Amino acid sequence: MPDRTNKQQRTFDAIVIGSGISGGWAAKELTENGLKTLVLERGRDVKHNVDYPTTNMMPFEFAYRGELTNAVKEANPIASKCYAFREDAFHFFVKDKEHPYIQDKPFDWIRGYQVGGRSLLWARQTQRWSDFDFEGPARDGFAVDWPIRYRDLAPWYSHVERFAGIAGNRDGIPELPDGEFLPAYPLTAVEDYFADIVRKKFRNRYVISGRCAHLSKPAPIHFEQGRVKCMNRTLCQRGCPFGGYFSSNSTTLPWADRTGNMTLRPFSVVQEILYDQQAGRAGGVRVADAETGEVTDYFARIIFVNAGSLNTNLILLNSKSHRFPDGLGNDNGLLGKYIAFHNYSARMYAKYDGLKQYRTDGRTPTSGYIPRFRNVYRQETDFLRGYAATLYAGRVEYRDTKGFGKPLKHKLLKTELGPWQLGSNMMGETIPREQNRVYLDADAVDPWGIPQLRVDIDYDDNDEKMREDYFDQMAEMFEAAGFRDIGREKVDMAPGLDIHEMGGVRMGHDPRTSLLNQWNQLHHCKNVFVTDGACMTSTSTQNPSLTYMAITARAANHAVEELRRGDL
Amino acid sequence: MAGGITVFSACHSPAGKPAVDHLPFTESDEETLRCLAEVIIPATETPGATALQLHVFAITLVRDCYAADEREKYLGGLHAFDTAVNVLYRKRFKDCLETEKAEVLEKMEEDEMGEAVGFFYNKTKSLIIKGYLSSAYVMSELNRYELVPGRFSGYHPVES
Repeated sequence: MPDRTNKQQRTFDAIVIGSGISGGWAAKELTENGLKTLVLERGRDVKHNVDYPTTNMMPFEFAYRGELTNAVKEANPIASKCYAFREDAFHFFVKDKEHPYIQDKPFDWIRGYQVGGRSLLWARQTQRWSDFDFEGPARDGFAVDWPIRYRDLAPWYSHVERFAGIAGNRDGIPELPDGEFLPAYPLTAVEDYFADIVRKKFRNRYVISGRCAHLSKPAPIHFEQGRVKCMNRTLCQRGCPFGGYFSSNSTTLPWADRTGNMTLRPFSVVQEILYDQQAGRAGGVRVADAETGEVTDYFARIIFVNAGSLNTNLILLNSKSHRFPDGLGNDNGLLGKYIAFHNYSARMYAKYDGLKQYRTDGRTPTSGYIPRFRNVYRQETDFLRGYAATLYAGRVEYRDTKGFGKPLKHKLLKTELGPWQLGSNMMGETIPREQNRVYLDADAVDPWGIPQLRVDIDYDDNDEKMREDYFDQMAEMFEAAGFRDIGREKVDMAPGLDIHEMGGVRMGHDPRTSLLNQWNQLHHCKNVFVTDGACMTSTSTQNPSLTYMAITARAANHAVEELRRGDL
Repeated sequence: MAGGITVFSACHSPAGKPAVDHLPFTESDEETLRCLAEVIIPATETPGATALQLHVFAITLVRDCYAADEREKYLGGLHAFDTAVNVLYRKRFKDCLETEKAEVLEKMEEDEMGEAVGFFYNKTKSLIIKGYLSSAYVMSELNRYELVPGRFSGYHPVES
């Protein structure tokens, strides 16, 4: 390989692969602790505000008023399934043809290859896990036992919540622990009404304001980050000029940059992690320049792999050496296996005729949230685990569009308020299974010479039963509240479109049945840490990003301690 | 029309070239759409479809956002509309009197002109309405769009 700069200039204390929601946190924690850190991002740079080209555009400034051209849709059958892949934000998504992968079974892999990754595009829901989640696999006999419990993560949840800024109520629900909250966003009249009915008529069921990564009332730390109050635009996917929601771009990366310890290198595609056989640890990473293809090695004492769940699997699988012929740390052959996701394949609708004296005004960045209530305290059903659900209610405005000419023109400016309409989406836990896996194709490579990933992931019988139960239970609650026209919709979507793919490099106690220890270190290569979604032993029901952030901050601080002790 | 009142048509074409690269629409198609749009949303004390270039918006969406088969169906409907108008009045829509145009629109509102014309009319009308409501003029002057609301209430009183 060409050696343009000497090895010393390519040597850092730490390398972080990926700049998304977890990579940004690794960068922040490591640089704050004084480590010279190289952050590698395969895509282009996206600077906060500077690179949000659509952020202040009015609807009429979009040629297609938000729609995509037929050419874009036809070229991107996968990406265009995502709700946010529209005219105002599709520049933040990977286009199908640019980064091919092979679907053994249908899997919609939604990606954002740029600095900040998908943290620009996420849905910003931030619910903590509890021990009902961490103890799930051990209690219910699937996957392997998590090597950590809530008490291990609780201080780190607090740490990331205070910095990121999370709006929420202290609801006092054991299944969904309270955190360090900014004021919550209020629910609507009918969401509150439904919450009251559920509390009175159902045991251990709650409807709360979904906790979200928005600055409802910024604290001094947020002003210090250069962020101000969320202005309820709900145009988050464009990037927020106020820094109203948390992203790597608005928060962790600028913070890391200010330490003077971060070197951010966009257009850096990591091909593999280099194993140093003599030292018995990883020595660095091999990077292909995304634009020129030029290959360069970088070196560090510790490596954080935060490439995004499936890409983290891909990099480790492709990191082959004499010691690890099947991928880095993969002595047990389980790397890439036990992938799971969230089952989003059901929605419900209803109407309510009461509370017509109210409507909504302005916009809210969150909605109601129903924490998992099934199989929490004991096994109640013929399927394992359960589901959380969103709950939102607003009044639809109708326009009378009959006729033409002056009368029509007059009518169009008036809207009529319909009844309250409710919607709910299921967010189901899926059970990690060995046959749900990713692996490298033997022949096909991508434009950077990296084997293409094959994805072999599907729903199972547990998911089907869970969906039926969600329909029945929600219908019962809706009926108890006097809602009418209750509709059940089975959503025909492949795994992946939930954008919560997890696992493949799971944590566990035992090196024979897991890849990572309780500190997210590869059992067999301790200076490599995996703290993105790939580390997840099980999925629970909560949107996972907050847990990735807390796990990352915890592991990064542990890495710093070990380095100081001379253990790494 | 001897002895009739000459109604000045708001459909007089402004001179010059068509406003869009209009393929697969011909200039004549564009003129038909412009005139139809102006009947749907006429100029009153506020600007109408021609001034807001709503036909250009409709053409842009059909040209770029419709799938090929849907676009073909739309164009087929447009030509069926031309033919139907010609059968009724022996002239093109743009040359019809305002009363004749209104008559044609009434028929289409009642879905009395066949499936192809019905498809064309419903699509066109919804595009013109969408273009109107999302136009810079309406969103700035009549029905203000709030880019930065800075507030939310789930208990906003409904004025009766």
